[in-house]
Amino acid sequence: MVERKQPRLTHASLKVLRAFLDSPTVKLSGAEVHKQSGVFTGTLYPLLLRFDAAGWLTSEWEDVDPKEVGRPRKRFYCLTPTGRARAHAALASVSRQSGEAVSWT
Amino acid sequence: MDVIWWVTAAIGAIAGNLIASELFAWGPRLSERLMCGAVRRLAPEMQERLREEWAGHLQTIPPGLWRIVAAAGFYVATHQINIALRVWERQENPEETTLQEKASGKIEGTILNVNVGMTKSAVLNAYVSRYAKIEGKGWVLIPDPRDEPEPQSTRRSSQDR
Repeated sequence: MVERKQPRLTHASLKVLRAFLDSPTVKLSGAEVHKQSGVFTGTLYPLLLRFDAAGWLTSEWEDVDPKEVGRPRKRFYCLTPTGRARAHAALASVSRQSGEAVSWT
Repeated sequence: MDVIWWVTAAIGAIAGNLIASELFAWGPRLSERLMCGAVRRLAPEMQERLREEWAGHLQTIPPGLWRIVAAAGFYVATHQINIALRVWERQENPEETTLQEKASGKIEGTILNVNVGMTKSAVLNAYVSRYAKIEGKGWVLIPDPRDEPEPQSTRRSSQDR
């Protein structure tokens, strides 16, 4: 198994991580992350896939039958312990560098 | 002068209303077409997953301009996702995908492809990818050195720091 490079932490990726940290026990779909973080879909999905591939997030399909509910299934993302630790470290590092509490919303 | 202003405002209001109602009527179909077009541009292994995921995302947005904007965003996402997939593929099979092997022909030219996006807080994100046109092989993505897997020794030493 090849170790994939850790994702670069941009402003948008920190906002996405912040959205997950704000609701640590809840699994979020891409649409919910979009609403909470305000990150545009064009940036959001590549970020989610990179985090997923790096092992920071896990993802799984919603456990419903699309025919029964009459809509496509959602894919839910959840922070892994590694992802949570990296996200905390990254946000703390940015807060330290800016020298003040940073608001991400 | 006041008359011209009022006439212009009235025409603008009517045109805006017409455009809004057209967008509302065409929104679902247009956004679905945009999403399907974006999915077709994806690498085959990701198409099935993201078609369902993105269709689910669009369902959560009320019909109208924002649904179209979200669907247009998927177009931007496909480019970034395809680049990421190529980088991962190169990391897993480095001997097959080095530029030196691809560039066994004459380089006829290079281009820069710049994607610019802006987040809600007006922070500009720019992604620059470089392509080289290789004789007999077409356009080839030039790997970004920052995306290359670091040698084991370098990775260890950077962690130590």
